[in-house]
Amino acid sequence: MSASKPFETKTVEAPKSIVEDKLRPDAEMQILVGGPYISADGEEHRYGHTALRLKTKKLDLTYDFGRYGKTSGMFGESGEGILRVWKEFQPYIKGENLLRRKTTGFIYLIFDHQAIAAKEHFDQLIKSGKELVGKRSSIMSVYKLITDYHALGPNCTTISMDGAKSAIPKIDAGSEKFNKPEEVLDLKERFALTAHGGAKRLFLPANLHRFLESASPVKLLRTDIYGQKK
Amino acid sequence: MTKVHTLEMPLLLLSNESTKNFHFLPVGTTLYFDKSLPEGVTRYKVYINIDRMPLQLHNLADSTEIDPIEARSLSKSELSRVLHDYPLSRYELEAILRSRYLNKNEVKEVFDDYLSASK
Repeated sequence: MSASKPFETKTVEAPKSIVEDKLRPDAEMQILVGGPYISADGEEHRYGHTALRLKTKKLDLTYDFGRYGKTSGMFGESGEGILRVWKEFQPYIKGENLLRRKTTGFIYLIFDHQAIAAKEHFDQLIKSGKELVGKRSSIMSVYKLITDYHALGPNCTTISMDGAKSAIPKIDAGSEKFNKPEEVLDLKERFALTAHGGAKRLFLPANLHRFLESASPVKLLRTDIYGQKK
Repeated sequence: MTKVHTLEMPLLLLSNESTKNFHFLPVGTTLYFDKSLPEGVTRYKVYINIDRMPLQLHNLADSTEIDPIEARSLSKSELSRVLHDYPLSRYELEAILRSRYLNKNEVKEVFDDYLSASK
């Protein structure tokens, strides 16, 4: 046995120092922003879609909120707030890629405790909602939240960003300046926005994309691009 | 112009309620395109004739409300269960395997499991 070093444990040999373990974040949070896609009937959907992925050594969950249930409104703009929790990332992104939609993953390096804070945020939403057991599969659980969906919020972007803020509170600081629906929505949708009283908070995936790539106050680890827009 | 799709492979049907059994939208069903949503969901109408069985009707409180059920292709684990428990025809099975929703490795795993369980 080699001579012991100062402060070294004599009982258990630690592979890393305690300081190193606590100071090096090794979890990831991905804000997934899906771009426009063209549907089967040729209509271009410019609205986009946002989801949040939490990845640690122990879990890889993607939270995907949207109109996956009952809808209502003249344009189908509101409905049940359905949260799908994907237990694997590949099936989620495969579905997005099948739409030929380009998805940008804005990736942030976080500590495990930050990922757990975001997970607990969603756990609370789930706890007050109801699991739709008939839609459960080996790769996904589905919940009806008590919060209903509205295209102008609460929607995929606001629910994802609420989760992201549980991990990194200042992640959307300054985003309200990027809330520019007129750059994305068509006349009919803008009319619906006005009738709804407007939206003070950033709610459109395309506006979020612009904010995260150019003005987010939090340093990005990297961006990953999924799918190829054609 | 109405746009339609005629199903070439069976799709699994899902509602909110739990069930032990599989329910399928059969091959040959005509889906009438209705609407697509930004999330990526496409909604279709299916017309069903129910013969000589009058059903009780009620008024929908919100005429804009739509309460859809869900249909999707089979996952690897669901295909494994279907092979054991559900009487799929050879034609239907071939149609599922030809689809782009399962890759060759997944299909191989399903059949390896099926064959080892059948021994």
